[in-house]
Amino acid sequence: MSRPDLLIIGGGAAGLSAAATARALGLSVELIDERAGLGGNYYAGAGDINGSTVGLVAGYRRGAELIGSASGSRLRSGVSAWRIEPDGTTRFIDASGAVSSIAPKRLLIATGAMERPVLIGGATLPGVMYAGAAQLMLKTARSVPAGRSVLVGSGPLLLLLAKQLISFGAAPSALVETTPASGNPATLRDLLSALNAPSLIREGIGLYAALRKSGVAWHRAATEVSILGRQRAERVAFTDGRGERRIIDADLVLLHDGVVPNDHVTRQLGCDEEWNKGQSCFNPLIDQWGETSRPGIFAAGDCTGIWGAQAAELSGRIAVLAIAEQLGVIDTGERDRRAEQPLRQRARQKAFRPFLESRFPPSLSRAGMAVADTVICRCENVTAGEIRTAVAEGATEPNQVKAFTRCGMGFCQGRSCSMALAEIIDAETGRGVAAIGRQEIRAPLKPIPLGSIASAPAGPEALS
Amino acid sequence: MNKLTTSFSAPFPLFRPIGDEPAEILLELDGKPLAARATDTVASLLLRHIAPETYRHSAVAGEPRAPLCLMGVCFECLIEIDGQKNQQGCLVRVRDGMRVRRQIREGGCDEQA
Ligand code: FES
Repeated sequence: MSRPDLLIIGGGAAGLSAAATARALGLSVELIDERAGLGGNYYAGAGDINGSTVGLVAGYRRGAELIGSASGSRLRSGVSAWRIEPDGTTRFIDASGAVSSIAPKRLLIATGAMERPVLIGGATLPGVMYAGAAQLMLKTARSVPAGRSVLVGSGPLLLLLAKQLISFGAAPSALVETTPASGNPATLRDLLSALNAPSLIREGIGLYAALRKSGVAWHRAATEVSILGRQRAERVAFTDGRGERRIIDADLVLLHDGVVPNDHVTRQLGCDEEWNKGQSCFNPLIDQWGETSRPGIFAAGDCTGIWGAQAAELSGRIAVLAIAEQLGVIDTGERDRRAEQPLRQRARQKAFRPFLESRFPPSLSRAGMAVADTVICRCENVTAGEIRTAVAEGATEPNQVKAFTRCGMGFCQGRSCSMALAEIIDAETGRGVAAIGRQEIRAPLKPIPLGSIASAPAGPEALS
Repeated sequence: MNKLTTSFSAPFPLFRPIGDEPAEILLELDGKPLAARATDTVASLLLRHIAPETYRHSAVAGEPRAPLCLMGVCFECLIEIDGQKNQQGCLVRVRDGMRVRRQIREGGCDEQA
């Protein structure tokens, strides 16, 4: 078993910049990522960059740079962590199915963001995907929608995807925005702090202008969205901003309702978490360096709250400075000196977020009001109605509902349903999602073929 | 739900390729040869080659399901790879000689672990 100074789980902006910073400080570093390539979501595909694809998607270049500067470390993709101990010892399975483990001196969790689960009627139909998935198809597999695609929901990524598809000759047939007419009223304070990040504002304005010029059918302030189809998605139904019911044809429906922390690893570790009202999600409690409630276990990037790729890169650097100080590689004064600039830059990046949060509140999927036959737990096929019945019968805690209905007991372990479950319990009991919380997460984080575990030596010491 | 029907409104894949990257990796899908690009995952390849309602059937739900997130979160992309069932097709890169098998049985159900 290897014992590096630092193990990083996640090879996106935060993990890669952390690896590069750690190498520069002389730490021994290993990085594992479950995906087929490095780069996370934002820099997806950057590791596969070649002559003909440079410039395909803005950001490739920075992503390739990050991967290059981290490459002195042992970087492995296609490797999934499935059990993490409180001391940081991490068991994982690689692409060949071999199980082994790493016992690092410090652990940095950088698992990024995931799509906010959208649980609306018809969302389980083949042909329904998240907007992020279409972006990954573009960035990593150089593929675009083949037929009529309809983009549905809210958030900057949806608009960005529309623009990207247009520029690659695969214009969507419609954009159905569920963003409320004016968003939530942005406070003057949010607007003023947003001005700290003018480049993001410029990007946003450019996006709107490009979309308006494109002539793609653009429905705004839509509500009551559902997807219709027999074996696969065929139509999107919604009420438009003028209150008219509409049904439009679609071969591919791309949903987006913002992103939330992909916090499965910190949850399995039982790190303390808090309810982030502005972002409508839970996130692990961390200090300014990224250390969680479990000493020696750090988290950085969007898995700690949605602050974007630039902030994630800075957070990876900042966390490693604290880790190096804890390991005695640099002293406290040096840590603080080196952290000063990235901390300031990160504060500027974060300043833009409250504006985005109030402009694009979650608006597509409201589990608390979901009609009874809406599937909430995709894996075990548990509906909103079944969950409400369980709540009415006294199962008012997420773990109780899970035991009653199997909601969250399937392969994905509640990754898609746990927030929705809390929202439904809240709608029925009024206790508030922050107090209700989510189901417990236990290892293994993903199904491990029994043969792999059986063939591995028993204790972590004996592994690899 | 019985065998896969062919009466789809749109019996074509969800995605098409762009660019001139050659498909140089040769693997097997349900025993038949299929060429992939080196940048493909099993899921991205299938999304360009098969109708999504034939990706897999969920035994629990009794209906077809297909990849949703492509980022390892939703587990809707489960597929058999080199004899190992329930692999997340969106996380696994294609390899020469790989044997991919869709988890669809006669009667339209997959086999759960
Ligand atoms: S498509 Fe969601 S886990 Fe693979």
